[in-house]
Amino acid sequence: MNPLFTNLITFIRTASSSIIAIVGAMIGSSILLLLTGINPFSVYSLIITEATGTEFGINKTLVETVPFVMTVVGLLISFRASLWNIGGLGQMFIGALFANVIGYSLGFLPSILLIPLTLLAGFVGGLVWALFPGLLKAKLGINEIITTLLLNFVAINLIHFLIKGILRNELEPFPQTYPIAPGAVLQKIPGTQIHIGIFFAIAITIIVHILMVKTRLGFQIKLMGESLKAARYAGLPIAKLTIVVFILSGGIIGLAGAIQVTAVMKNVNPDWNPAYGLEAVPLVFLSKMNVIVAALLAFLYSIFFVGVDIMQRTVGLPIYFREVFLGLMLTLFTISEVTRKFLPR
Amino acid sequence: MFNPQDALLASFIISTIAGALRSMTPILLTAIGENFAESSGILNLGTEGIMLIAAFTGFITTLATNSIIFGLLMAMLVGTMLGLIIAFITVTLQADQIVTGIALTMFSLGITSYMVRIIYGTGLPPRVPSMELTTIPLLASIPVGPTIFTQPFLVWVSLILIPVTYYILFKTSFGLKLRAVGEDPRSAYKMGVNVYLYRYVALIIGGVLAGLGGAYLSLFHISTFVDNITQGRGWIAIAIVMFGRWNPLWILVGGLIYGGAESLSGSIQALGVLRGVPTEFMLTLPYILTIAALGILSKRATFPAALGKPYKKETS
Repeated sequence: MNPLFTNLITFIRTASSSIIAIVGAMIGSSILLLLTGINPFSVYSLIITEATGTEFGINKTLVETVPFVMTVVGLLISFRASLWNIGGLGQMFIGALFANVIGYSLGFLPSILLIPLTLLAGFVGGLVWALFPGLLKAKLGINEIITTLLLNFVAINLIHFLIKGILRNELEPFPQTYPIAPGAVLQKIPGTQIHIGIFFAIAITIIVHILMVKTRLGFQIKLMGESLKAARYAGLPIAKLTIVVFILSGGIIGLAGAIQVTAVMKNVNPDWNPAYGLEAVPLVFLSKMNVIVAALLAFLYSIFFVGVDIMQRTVGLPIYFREVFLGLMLTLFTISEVTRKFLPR
Repeated sequence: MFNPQDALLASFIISTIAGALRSMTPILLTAIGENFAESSGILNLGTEGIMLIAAFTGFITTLATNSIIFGLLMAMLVGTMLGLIIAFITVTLQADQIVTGIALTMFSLGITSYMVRIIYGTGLPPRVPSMELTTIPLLASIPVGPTIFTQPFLVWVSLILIPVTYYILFKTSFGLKLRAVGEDPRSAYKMGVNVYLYRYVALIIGGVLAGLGGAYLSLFHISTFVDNITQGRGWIAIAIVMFGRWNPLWILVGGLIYGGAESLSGSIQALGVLRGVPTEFMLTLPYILTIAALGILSKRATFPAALGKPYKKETS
């Protein structure tokens, strides 16, 4: 048989659940739109044209791609080990705040030192916030889904407390932090609104891909994710691996928060909702834990994300449309993954 | 001699206890339901989602019919349906319980906030009439009684359910079989127990009670609906079931810890003891205490052996 044809068959077999999930979620969300008196065809075509058809839309999509790609990559490391880090929201928030504090208070340093330190601070912030649930899981076996999720609420309230208290910028009427020093700002690619953070996202994707497929650590993470029992028999240090996974996962997501601060927001205000941490979760499952596929899905999702965001402001489409879509997509994905085994091969 | 400071302290303590009972109720209802589900071997992570949709349904129904009873009934009906859907996906189709729960929660957060925007635009949803309070006759006549023993009836329902659930799980044949299904479905099947049926029933009980817990939030706790009204309470209920080691009596202890923390963070602000400590700081207290409680008591946990694992019917 033609090798191209067999490759195509293999691809369809592997990707069928993800394709069914995406198409099904589009149909399901269209029904919701119809029921609530909105024309689904105009919504979906507007999403595409708003997010990819104008210079503003393209710039915005590529800017939003950066945190999404980094978040899916960060989450993927933990999901691959069957450790369910649902705390990306909190980790990104804390990472952004750490970066903000360092980028402001060490503002006297030259950029060449300040930028790496600021980004490192973000990595450390996300790491710290992921380390709590990591340690609780590794040492006491406490369910990490619960702890990471509850720590999101702690992070939100803690940050609001700090922004309204000791970190408040006294010069502004509304609560927000002091902006980072000009030397800490990540520059834009000349002639666009796209910042150089996008190269970080690409680099992290490639590094983590190599980590997962070529290194011993990646192999151990995979083994642990596929069968904890087998990993124990093989003598893997499960507790140590668990902590390493949470450090990498939270650190990368914290770094994404730092990039948002240094390139886009310049400071942190209580209205910022780093929803990337939650909205990226279904994308990781759909990628079937492949780093490159996950990054591509994150890029595609950014189009949808930006399209809905613009439509909220122009025609009042509730942005919660995104969560409806994601929830449907993930439900259909998990159903079609298991129904395959009921079908004849 | 009458000391105004003592009187203030006494009223502070009494109102904190009364508040703890009210804050505990939605958690307790949901946790009791989750206890049934987990004892049968299904880790239902959809509790937050069920609570959200039930809170919204109960709210809308109460507004439309002007009857809280109808609101509660609709919330329970919706909880039943969601319990059935989760049962179909995780028991019959044997899908991953973790992914299913996360997916349902995400969908519920989306659909409820979406519908609020569609119905009310950018304005705030209206308030519902307050739930009637029920007084416990004799206890309410003792000095501290009136504040503590006059509560919405769901508070009393949730407390009564604790011994009832304990009795069902540990003293009846239904409870024995349910736990057998959660420990070792294969042996339970060989002994003639219908594993799927027991898991369906357990998930439906979980759905109904999470539905009541959610409706309590919108119909009594804040008497309106806001985005993400549950604020993680569905997850806290799951945490408390784990803390309570699948024993309703310990779940009550966990509920009291959470309820006490939530109530304390409210009443400390009201009293102004810690002036200058913003609301947000106190709001982290219930979450941190829940995590801490999990950490301190986790070593004693003995999981239902088959928890989280799908069971495939033997065909022979």
